Amino acid sequence: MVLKTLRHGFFDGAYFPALLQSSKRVFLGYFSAVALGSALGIAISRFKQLSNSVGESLTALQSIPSVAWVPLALLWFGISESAVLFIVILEAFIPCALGVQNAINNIPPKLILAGRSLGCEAFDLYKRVIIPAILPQVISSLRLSWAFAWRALIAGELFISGAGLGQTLELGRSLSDMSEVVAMMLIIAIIGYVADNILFKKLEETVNYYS
Amino acid sequence: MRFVNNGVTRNLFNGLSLSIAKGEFVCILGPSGCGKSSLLNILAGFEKGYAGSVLLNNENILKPDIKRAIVFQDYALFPWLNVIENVSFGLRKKLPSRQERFMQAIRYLELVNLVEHSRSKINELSGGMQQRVAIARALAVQPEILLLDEPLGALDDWSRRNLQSELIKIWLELKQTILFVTHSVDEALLLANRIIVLDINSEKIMDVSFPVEYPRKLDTKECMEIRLQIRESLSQKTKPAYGKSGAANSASEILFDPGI
Repeated sequence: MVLKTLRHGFFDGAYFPALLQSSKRVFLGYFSAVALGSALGIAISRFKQLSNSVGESLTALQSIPSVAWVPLALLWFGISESAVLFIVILEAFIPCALGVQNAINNIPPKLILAGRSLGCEAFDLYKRVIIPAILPQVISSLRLSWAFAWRALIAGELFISGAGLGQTLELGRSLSDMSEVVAMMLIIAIIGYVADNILFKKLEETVNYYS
Repeated sequence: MRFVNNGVTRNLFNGLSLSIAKGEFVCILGPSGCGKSSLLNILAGFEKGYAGSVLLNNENILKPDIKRAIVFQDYALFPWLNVIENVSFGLRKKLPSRQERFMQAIRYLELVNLVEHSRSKINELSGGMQQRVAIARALAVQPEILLLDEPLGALDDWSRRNLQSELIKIWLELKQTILFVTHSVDEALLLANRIIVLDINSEKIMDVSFPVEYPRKLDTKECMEIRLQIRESLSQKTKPAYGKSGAANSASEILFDPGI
């Protein structure tokens, strides 16, 4: 049954708008979240006061599951694209910010001193010492960030209209079409798995300087 | 000299006055906690909040600069770069072309006998080799003074001895001004042509020139005499004198003299 539904979905092209739409959202949301999160992570590692106040509240924010943000997002943005993006970014930028902050704090201090005494200051120091030094650790938080983004996307899509994997899933439910629901869940799982265990694992291996 | 370390203000080097001439190989010797490493951090330019004057060629030392290269006990090499990239790291501003940087790096890798490892990853090297890379990296920027912060402290006996003779070779070849911080009396006797002893209160209690030829033997009469002097001078004052901070404002002065 499920296989039949999947075959239909792919061969008739019914899934492609949903896949396209969902990936567009998740990429846009994920990359904005990474940009925002990295910038914030660098900022809070740089200024002590920020790290105490902002760092704590980020940890608190992270404990709110993505579904719990949906009502707020719908009230703010209405049933729209921006509501989903809001949820995805909000969920994904936190692990990224915390990961970057943590990684910077874990750089051996002597490494930074060595960079400075060899003529690197300010921007150069970030480019040539700090960023390469944190890369292995940051890839792990990017991976975590991705997992959060993917979950948030599906949760958000359940509630808005228009194409999307979450929406197709919701449609299956309202039509009591069990095979459609399971088929969708399979697709969600496979995409999540491929990104997490193949893409990010490769990336982690390539930046591991110690292997 | 007063400076802040981990939020604690310390008074060190009260009235310490030190002048180092170009081409000297100076060992600073002293017990743990006497502020040897702090002194080196100030000289490297890592400390800002100190009172006193530290001059290199009449310029105040306020921030790090490639005129003063430093080598740490734990190497502090960049693990994402290979050996030659590490050595050419500090040359970016002097030499814009990568090839020129590598050519210069090769010269210094030759000096520490690591040319055949120039493409190796850092974590493939032994501790002794890593420290040689760190020394080459510091020398490659052609600093006016090379600061060594107990560079051989983490090495096994064999590598330490190898590196000691290599340091002597480098010093004789390049006439590089070197400031070497250690707590090992024998190491100072083997290497330096001038030994400065600090006591636990970071006061200078000895400053001897040491003209003995290399390679040195520790069991010669001259070495034994100086070793005895150092031991005696250190044993006279072993307890820290607390409550001395009233005299904190006596100015300290450290000069590096171009001497030409």
